[in-house]
Amino acid sequence: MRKHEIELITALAEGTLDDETRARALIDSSSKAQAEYEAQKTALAALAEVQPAVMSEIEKATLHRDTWTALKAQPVAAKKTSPWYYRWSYAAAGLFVVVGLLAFLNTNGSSSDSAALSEQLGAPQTAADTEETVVVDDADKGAEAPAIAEDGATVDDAGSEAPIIGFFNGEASKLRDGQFRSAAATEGDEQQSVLEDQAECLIRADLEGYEAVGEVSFADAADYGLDPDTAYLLAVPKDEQLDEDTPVAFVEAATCALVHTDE
Amino acid sequence: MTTAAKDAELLARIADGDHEAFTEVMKAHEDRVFSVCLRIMGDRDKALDTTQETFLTAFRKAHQFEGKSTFGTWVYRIAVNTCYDQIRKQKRRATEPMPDYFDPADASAQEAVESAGIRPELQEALSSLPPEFRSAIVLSDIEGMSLPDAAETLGVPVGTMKSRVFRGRRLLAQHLGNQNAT
Repeated sequence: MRKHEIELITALAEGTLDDETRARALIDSSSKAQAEYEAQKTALAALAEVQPAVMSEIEKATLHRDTWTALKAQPVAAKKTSPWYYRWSYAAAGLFVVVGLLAFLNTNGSSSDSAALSEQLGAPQTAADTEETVVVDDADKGAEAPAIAEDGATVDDAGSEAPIIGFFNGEASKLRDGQFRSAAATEGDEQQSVLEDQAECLIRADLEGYEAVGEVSFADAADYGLDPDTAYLLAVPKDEQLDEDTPVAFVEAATCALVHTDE
Repeated sequence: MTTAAKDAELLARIADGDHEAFTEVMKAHEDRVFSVCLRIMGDRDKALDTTQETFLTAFRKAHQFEGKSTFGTWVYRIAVNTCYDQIRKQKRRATEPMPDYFDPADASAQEAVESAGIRPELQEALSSLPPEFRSAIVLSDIEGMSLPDAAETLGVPVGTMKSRVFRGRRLLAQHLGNQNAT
């Protein structure tokens, strides 16, 4: 079923169409569309009965007390702030070193060497300017929490997720280079059949036309407050020759959620 | 002061041990967080635990919140992810007993069913959905979030959200149909 047909059926079931002519014609012309429409209506009618969930006053009081007690036991990490001049102090220090070295080299009449040296110095200076220490206070809570970007971005959008993104990129490169040694390769047919069973999982991750070719875990996950037991399926487009342009998708095996695509 | 700036200020006060700010944030968001957790987890006690876990995570990660989105969106996303985490842990464990309210002989069960505000067979159907479809249905069809808000909360494109809602409803209807047939 096409995307616009799905949207038309959804809107008809939700009763949000001003003009239902096209939608009615669609469901009259196709038994599949009719069945989809009926399913949407059935689900919506059932869900409309659901009452708002509320906590009792006792539950709220307990929640407040327990949460506050836990917070007091392990205080909140305050947002790390530093005076404005701290940010510039790195740049100033870097600039001072560069100017000093250039002056020294110029004194010795080696302008080409100084240019090369200033180029080399450029990298650490930039790194010092931009590097930021993040306070990570919890190794125990919320394995998912590090995956939460403040702006609602996905895992791979979050700057704080660089280690796991680096891991994904590394695994994707290994796969493309043919160096990847998946569980499937080492454990034989039984594991291969497990990977074949992941087809439904990939569909749920909106990866139709992909196949799972392996499963990996991020060994250093615990160092970044992530769950080291989390397994990720590697998926690539079916029947496609692997090369440097092949997109490699990473799907969390337990939830079938697409967490990263390396392209 | 914008909402996001106010949220950021409240979080900073909580970090400084301000109980009044803590209570204000809890009161503003606890009902909806609990509701999302209850519909995803399908069990009141687990929902309460997950709600607490959600707020603890949010407050402990407060230094990562910079006010680019609303605190609400941020905390609902933490709630959904905390639920996913719990579901994953449950899957790893051995099979768990059904919640008490599925036992009609239990006197407290009826009370729990009433307070849950949802028919047990509907909750069962909802719980049978894969987590990402379940959360899409909960946010969109039960909590009444707009598709863009729900998509932002789940960290997916709006198109993906539409697809999950559509397919989730289809699976839900199938499950309810199967229940009626048996």
